[in-house]
Amino acid sequence: MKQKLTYTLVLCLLVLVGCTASDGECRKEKVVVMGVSLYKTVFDAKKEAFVSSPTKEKMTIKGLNNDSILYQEQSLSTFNLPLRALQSTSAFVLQRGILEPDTIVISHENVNQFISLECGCFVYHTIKSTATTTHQIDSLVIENTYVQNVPENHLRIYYRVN
Amino acid sequence: MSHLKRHIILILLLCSVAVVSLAQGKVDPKSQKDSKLTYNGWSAHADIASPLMGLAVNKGVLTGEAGVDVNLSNRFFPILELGYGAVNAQVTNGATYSAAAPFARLGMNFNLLKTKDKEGNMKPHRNYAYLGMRYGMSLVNYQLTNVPITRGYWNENQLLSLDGKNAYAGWGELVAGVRVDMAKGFTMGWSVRMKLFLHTSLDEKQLLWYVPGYGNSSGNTFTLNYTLGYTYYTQAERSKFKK
Repeated sequence: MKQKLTYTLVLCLLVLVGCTASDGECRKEKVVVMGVSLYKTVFDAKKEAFVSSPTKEKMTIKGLNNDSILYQEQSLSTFNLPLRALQSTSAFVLQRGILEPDTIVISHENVNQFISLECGCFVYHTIKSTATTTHQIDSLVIENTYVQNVPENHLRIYYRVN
Repeated sequence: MSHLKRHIILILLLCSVAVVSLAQGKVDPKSQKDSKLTYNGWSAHADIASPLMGLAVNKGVLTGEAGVDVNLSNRFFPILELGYGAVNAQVTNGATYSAAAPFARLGMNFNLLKTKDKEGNMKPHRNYAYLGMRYGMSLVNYQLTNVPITRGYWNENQLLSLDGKNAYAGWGELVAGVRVDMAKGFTMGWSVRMKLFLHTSLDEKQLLWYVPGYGNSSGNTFTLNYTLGYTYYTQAERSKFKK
């Protein structure tokens, strides 16, 4: 009986111990991006007031001074923008259709968050302020200041209706 | 393997040990009345599995530990375990973690087998299966190097280094095992431990990637111990062996 018990224990334990080895890979969502949604503002004659509603636009988007295009002539109502991890200002060029592009500037604080040895350090952001050119964009509204590795909307862009 | 699967295996394992002990038969009511604890000896053991596992499987982890327990009524075994561990590991992203620390565990083993015969007399006690609990603690000096920060789109890359001294870590353990007297008090034992990380003095628990005596702090860990040692029996206990 003692021998059987010992062998059973040994087998179970070897299985358990073997299962605990880390493979050194990160299993967490690594993407930290600012969620943006597009709105348009129109005059509602019935209500005799300006009203806003979500809109879908054909957009081309890239970072300022960055040749890599994030979205190329895509029909979007929401999209994600990667803020800079090592600088406190991120700027993006947004072109609606073939109209004159706008540049939006996001000022943010960066916070290094050590996740694990496998995942390294994530950089989260707190949006402090925004600015934009107003060729097509009417205004920007910060919806959520804290940018983490979870899908959320942080910024609303209000376009003028042409 | 998922945490759930591991928990199921451990529970089955613990149950199997418990079932074996229950199969030993009912306890004599007369013996239950005798609740006075008697000192029956002590035992000192060194763990062989931890250093061997470090060499064979967890390269970069070196752990040594030993323990002393006291036999009370052949049922309760208060135990103190002391050890020292050092880790130096690198993961696929290039980040490295090194730490070295002593650790200690305090707890109790409970003999699952019958301690008295049908007449209510104490049985000779040489081999037993047990369940146990521990509280483990360690003061860790750790160093993290080459921890990457990357933001691919902006082509931003940075490597960080972090370190800390005397970070306290505390954890709980459930233990199941057997101990066998091979000859004249020279004993060996097998045990498995499920460990649960409880608390640390650090705000960010994840900085202690590996805690000597516990293991990887990101979740529950399981470890295997194979111990060799010596058990001293009191004169009264030894006299039972001769009968």
